[in-house]
Amino acid sequence: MRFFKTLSIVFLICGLVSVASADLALLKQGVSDYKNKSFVNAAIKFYDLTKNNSLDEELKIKAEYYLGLSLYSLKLYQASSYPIVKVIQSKSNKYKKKSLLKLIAISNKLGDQRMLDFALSAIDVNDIQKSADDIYYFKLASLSYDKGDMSGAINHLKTSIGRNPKNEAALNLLALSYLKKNETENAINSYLKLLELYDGRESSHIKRSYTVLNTARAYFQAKKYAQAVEFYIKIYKNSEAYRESLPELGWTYFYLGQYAKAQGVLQSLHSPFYENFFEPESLVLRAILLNYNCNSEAAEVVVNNYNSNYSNILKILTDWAALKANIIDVMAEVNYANEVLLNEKSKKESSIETIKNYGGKIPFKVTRTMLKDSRLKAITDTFLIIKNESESTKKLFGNIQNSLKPYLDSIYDDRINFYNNQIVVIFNKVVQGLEKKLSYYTQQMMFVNYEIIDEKKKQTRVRSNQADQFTEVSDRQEKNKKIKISSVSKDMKYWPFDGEFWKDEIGNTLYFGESLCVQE
Amino acid sequence: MKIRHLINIFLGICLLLINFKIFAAEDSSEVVNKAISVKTIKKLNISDYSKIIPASEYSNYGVVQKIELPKSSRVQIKTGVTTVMSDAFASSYGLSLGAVYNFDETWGVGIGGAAYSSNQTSQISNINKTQMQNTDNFLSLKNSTNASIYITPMHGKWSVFNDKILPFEVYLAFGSGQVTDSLSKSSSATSASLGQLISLTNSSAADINLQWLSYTSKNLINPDQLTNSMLLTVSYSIFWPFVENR
Repeated sequence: MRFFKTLSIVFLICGLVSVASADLALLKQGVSDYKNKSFVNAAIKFYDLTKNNSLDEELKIKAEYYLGLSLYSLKLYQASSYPIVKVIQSKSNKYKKKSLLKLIAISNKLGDQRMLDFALSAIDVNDIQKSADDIYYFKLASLSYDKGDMSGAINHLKTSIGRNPKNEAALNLLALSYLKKNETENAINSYLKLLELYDGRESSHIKRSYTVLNTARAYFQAKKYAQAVEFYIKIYKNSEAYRESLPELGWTYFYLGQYAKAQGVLQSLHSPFYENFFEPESLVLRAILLNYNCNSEAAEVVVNNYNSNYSNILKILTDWAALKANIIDVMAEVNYANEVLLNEKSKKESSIETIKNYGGKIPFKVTRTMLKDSRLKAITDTFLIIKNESESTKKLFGNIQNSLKPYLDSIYDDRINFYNNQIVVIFNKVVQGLEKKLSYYTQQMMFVNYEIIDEKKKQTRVRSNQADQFTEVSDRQEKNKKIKISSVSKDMKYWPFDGEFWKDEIGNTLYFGESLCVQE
Repeated sequence: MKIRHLINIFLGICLLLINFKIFAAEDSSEVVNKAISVKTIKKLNISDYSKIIPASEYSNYGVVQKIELPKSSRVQIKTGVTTVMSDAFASSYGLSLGAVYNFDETWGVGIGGAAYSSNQTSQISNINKTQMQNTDNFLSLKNSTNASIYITPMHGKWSVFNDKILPFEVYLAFGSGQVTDSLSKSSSATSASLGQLISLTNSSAADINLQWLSYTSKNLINPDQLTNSMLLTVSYSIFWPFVENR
């Protein structure tokens, strides 16, 4: 009897050892598959191991870690974050540090700030300080920046730049952090260093153009308007930053008291080439400038133009807020706008045909501005990555019998639902922000309109009393225009404006209008 | 009809009008609260700036832009092909070479020359071959040289398929020179040209030139007769020194 008892125990031990050795063999096979870049097979094996309850906890963590690495290598970043987070949250310290760094990399790929926040809050800075690279410190700085801790951000960025002086993103964020602290000189210096990195790149280079624009903005914030102009006019005309710079250049000339130049800049902006953009502010400035010159007639035309282009948009945005839009409504708007933008990109100019069939409930010029909002852009980009990853899982695991695919599907369904809700929330926030902005400009325009009427009354009264002086103003205007044209340098051409717009003339428009104000 | 009836009719019309006005007011208030139509939204997709400048204000605006192909203090070297369009008796084609020094954007001086190869037209060959007539005295140009003063009074630009913009300028050249005819007789010539310089880059251009040459040539009846030739030249020009991107 005793013999049988001993035998059964021996068999049990042998059985357990054989199971354990089978698990170990599977783990070894998985690691071998991973090293041989057979990531699909490796991921399936590691997933099966993580579901094995009899497996030793330490081995399970190892399986989770390698599952994360395999999925990461398959570019399924969102899915890879799940096992990696499990490793971080486990009691085992063996893979924790590596997992945290991997999670930072995943958050970088997905553009997921919350994931980054989680990773950085779990990480012990002293633990990896020596080995950490500039990107790690840049991420820490981004987090501080988002939390509004500019001094913290600046410290981290200095370390990041110290480790890699050519880190463009770090220099850019450093300048922004200084600007938030209103340390404009430091901000300008950071931008100038960044510009040095772009030396030799084409003037149409998008990052270079935006850095020139940001330098001009920094000078503007420092109230150094003349220097700001120097940078604004350096922006290459075919770059995306150019249109954005025009209203700002208009304001800068306005602050310099160069009203004619400001008017000329706005004339370029209010040309058919930029009619697809949301530009209410520039119309307010234009009306103000014309009213400064006592040119009430022209100013009133601008006010009417503002009303015809924007009064209904305010109502549309208000209606949208009341609509309680769902993800289908929101994505329809995003997709309609993206379709036109893609068309524009491929044809290198706006496609009127695409806009004619535009089906969005929010006008295109508004939606395109909304899509540039960093919050919306970030979340729609992440959403697209996750959707693409979800499609990839079908291709990678759909044809093989495995238990991993349902797990991946559940991850992606969960994340897609999450992002659907987030996109709606952020889209609506952006709509509200724009509605608020437009509402403010509309109020400003009403105020300007009041000023125009007031000035008109005043000037009518004065002119009726001093008709001769008014004739003098007209004569002076014609005379000054002739002087201005004749003083144009020899390597320049003068073209009179007759209602035509030529693309090569953008940014070269001059305003010859003199002040029509007659003093009492 | 009694006056009472008239008053009733008048009152009825008044009531109708009042009612109509009330309904109209109701209608208009509905319009105010109505959702914006798809048509209106479509209109708002793009801003309409077409009437932002009243026509009376056009004169207040102008464009001053850098010249695409600056000529001041630059040497223009041009080479191209030329044909004598006015010669009814021979098909003449040639190669031309020229150089212009531009003092500024309007004035310049230049020299040029062309060498021609001529073939009698089929009609003249026919006279020669079938009717055995001597056609050697049907003169054609052998070469020409001239020195001219250039003046550029006009400039403009073309839009090609609403896509590419080609700036151009129109110039006039007046000068004198020498021509040699197919009998190797040389004589002095007066020349006048009308040309168009189409800018390709800021240092190169296509040049289309119509040149009139007036010179004396030998004729069987009148040994020296005033002859006029019209030449069409298409050439490619390079401007030196080169300039940076503008």
